[in-house]
Amino acid sequence: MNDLIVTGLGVVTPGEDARSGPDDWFDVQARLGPRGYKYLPRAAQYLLAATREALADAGDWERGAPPEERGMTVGTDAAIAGLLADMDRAVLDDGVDGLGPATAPYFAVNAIAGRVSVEHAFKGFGVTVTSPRVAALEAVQIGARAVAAGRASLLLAAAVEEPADGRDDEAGAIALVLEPRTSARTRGARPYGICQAQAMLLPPSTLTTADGRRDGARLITRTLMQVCGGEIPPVDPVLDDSLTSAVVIDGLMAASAVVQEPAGPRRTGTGCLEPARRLAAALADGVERVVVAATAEGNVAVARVGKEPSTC
Amino acid sequence: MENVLITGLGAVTCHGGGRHALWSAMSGAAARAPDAVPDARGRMDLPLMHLVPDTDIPAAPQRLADAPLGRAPRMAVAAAREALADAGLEEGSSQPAVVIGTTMGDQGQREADGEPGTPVFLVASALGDALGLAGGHTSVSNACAASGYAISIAADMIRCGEADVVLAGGADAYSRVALACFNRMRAVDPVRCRPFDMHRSGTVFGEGAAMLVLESQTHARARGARAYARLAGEGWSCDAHHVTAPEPDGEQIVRAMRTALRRAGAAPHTVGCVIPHGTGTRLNDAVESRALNEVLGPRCRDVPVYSLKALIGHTGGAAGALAVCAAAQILRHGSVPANVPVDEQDPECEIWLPQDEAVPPSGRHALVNAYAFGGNNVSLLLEGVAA
Repeated sequence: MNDLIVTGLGVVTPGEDARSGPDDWFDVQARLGPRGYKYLPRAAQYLLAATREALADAGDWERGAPPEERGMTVGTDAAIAGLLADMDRAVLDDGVDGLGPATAPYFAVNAIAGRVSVEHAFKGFGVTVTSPRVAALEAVQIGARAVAAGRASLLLAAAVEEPADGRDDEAGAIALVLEPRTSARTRGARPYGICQAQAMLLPPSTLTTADGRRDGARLITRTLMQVCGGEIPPVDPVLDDSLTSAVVIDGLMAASAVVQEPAGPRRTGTGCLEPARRLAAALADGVERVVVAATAEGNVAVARVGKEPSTC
Repeated sequence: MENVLITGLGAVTCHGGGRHALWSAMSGAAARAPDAVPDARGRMDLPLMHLVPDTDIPAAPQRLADAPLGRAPRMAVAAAREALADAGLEEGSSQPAVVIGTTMGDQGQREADGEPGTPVFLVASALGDALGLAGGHTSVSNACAASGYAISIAADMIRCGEADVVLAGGADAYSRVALACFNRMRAVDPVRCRPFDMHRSGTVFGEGAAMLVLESQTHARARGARAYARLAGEGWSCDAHHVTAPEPDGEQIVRAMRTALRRAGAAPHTVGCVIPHGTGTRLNDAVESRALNEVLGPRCRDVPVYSLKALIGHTGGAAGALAVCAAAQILRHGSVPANVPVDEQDPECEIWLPQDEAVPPSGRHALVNAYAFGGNNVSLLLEGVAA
């Protein structure tokens, strides 16, 4: 099978950006330039910056990937949450004249990705996906399927968030450049590894019975086997205190997976940046890893990072 | 490669609940004036939208996890239940995957609750939970092309063997922010949704939902299911031109249509009707008309175009799925209904919009277009199947 190889990484998050202080971690002029970006929504700025970084990291990615062969998938949950809140407040207070003409188009979340497609001529396709918590992994899955179906030959799969509650740990963007192994080899790209994902739903209403939880755990185990093949790499979980997450853990245990539970309280919320961050970290570190994300709404995703020989 | 069949339809529009209500409205060219949205706090010049009657929206589901649910997920659930029943798949008897497109998710409910900044994209999850559907699951938010993409993604899932049956479609409901933004962009027509009309001056939104049962031919045959149509091919493209304005020469929407034809192994002369994106915005309708002429050639003037949005408004993320739902019924009935009358067709829009009476499709394929902000385009080609 012609797996997709990750050949570029871009991480633009407060923890990764050493160019400015923690209170104002993203300097738009420093990241994007002096003109044309200042009035874009913050999420568009993050995604532009992460995309630039990932494409630069991928080297001469344009070779062999003309505009019609460039596809883009973006996962998000809350990229425009703050913007929508501000817009609604403006309409309630001042009517439509309170809306800024430059930001009005961004009431539709896919306009964020649209702005990036303009910048880098991604004409193959653009798809924005929005399942709570797992959208970043969903973006990898949808994009890989589209490439396999011949809809593009180069994929930018990204995650972007800018939650309204001001949580910096869920703000930023992460972008991956993925190419079929043969393309990456042809142009001598540096491979980070392979990346596969599968998203699903465990309906919370079905998890209230023992039978439902057992069936849910079996689905997790089966999915893990499908994504990983025989041997399951260490699992990096992004879970919360929901019943969904409890069933996911049951499924992981049934598969005898080694779960690396990080220290500290379990995360809550529905942003998709943290699963993307774990994925990017495993790729950057060159380690095999499974990232599993789940949320109370029932959304679950399993993603695997695998090693690739050092030369494509 | 596995054929993908459409074996069930469900729809909710301003004309009421059910695919039959949609077909009845289409057959009667039953134009209705837009509603004034019942939102006194939404201060805008043109608070116009085609609303789904409250009586056609079920009371449940009401919550998912901690989130209250509003009209969009409930419409989606109603349409999904209808589609499953239409396909002869009893609820609980199968576990279809779910792919749903939506522009605003449940933003309208958040605005009503006074929490407009909390996450809104719960339509797909709510539907999956309400119907107890464990397994493959995706929420697509490609604005007004969202459900067109959802259907195409679902078809890819079947073709690559990930699923035998997929519930795919879309839903959108009133959102104060969305309508205010269209007012701000001066993109709302004060009269009604008048695609391809000389005097059009924007669109008029509509609430709605449509869900389809997509099924592998193997699975459908094994259970003796009757199909409306084969989903023969889809084309994707992105303008990469401007966040809102269409690419003026229509290069990428032409490419999407031609890709759909190519993937279906079809030729332009087999296209027997078109349901265009046709929103009523000035440039979009003109660009799409030119693109249709480029793809279909001189025969374009003989291909009936059914302008669905003139009947139900622009249903945002549900628009593509409702158009496929309409196209499937056109192929089933072998009849393209007369359009809602166009007062004066724009000479810049050289397409055939049958006015006074229904006409038969002029070929075995129906072409559906769905375009969106962000430059996201999708074209879908349906092929009629023997009854």
